[in-house]
Amino acid sequence: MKRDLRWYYATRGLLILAWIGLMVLLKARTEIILFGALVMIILYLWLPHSGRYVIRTDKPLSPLQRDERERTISFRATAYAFSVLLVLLAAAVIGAGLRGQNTLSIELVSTIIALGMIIQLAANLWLRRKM
Amino acid sequence: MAQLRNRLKELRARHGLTQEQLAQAVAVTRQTIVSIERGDYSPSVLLALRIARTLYVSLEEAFWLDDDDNQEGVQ
Repeated sequence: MKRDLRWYYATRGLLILAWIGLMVLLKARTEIILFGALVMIILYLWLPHSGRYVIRTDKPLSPLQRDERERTISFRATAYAFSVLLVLLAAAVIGAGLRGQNTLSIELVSTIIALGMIIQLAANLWLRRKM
Repeated sequence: MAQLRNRLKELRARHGLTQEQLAQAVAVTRQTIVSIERGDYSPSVLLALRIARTLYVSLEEAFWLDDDDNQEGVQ
């Protein structure tokens, strides 16, 4: 069945143009702007065909909707990542306390947050295979 | 522990529906239908009812509990 995605492509095209405009105003390098625009174009073209979204043509501006399985996967992956993040942060705080420090370095916190994001992504992929 | 079983594949075939067509009819992705048919994903009551209605069967004809104890419920 052919589904009408004209509004989706039109609005995403406008978003890409807005992003390019913003980057030009911020005087970003041309290569960065072009690379970012290319990534956005590929992403917006792929998403409707990724099989991860239900296409709702009655919602022309936001036709890509997650169904209940996708929402469950996303929720569980986020919950796993958040739990690990809290444990790692607690361990870092206890470790700092044992060393007599009363602050955490920004590098350590950044690393823990990055780990949390990686765990969210990994859990998402794992749950997708399992469910 | 009781497992949710289903005969979606059989019912879908009876109506000549593909997974994609059933998925569109009940507003989910094809992958969700694949996962339900395999028994990997248990749908919500709402989705199970929508699927049963789309396939013109009762909920119990499409889904049932495969219970080890085979309990009929609280007497």
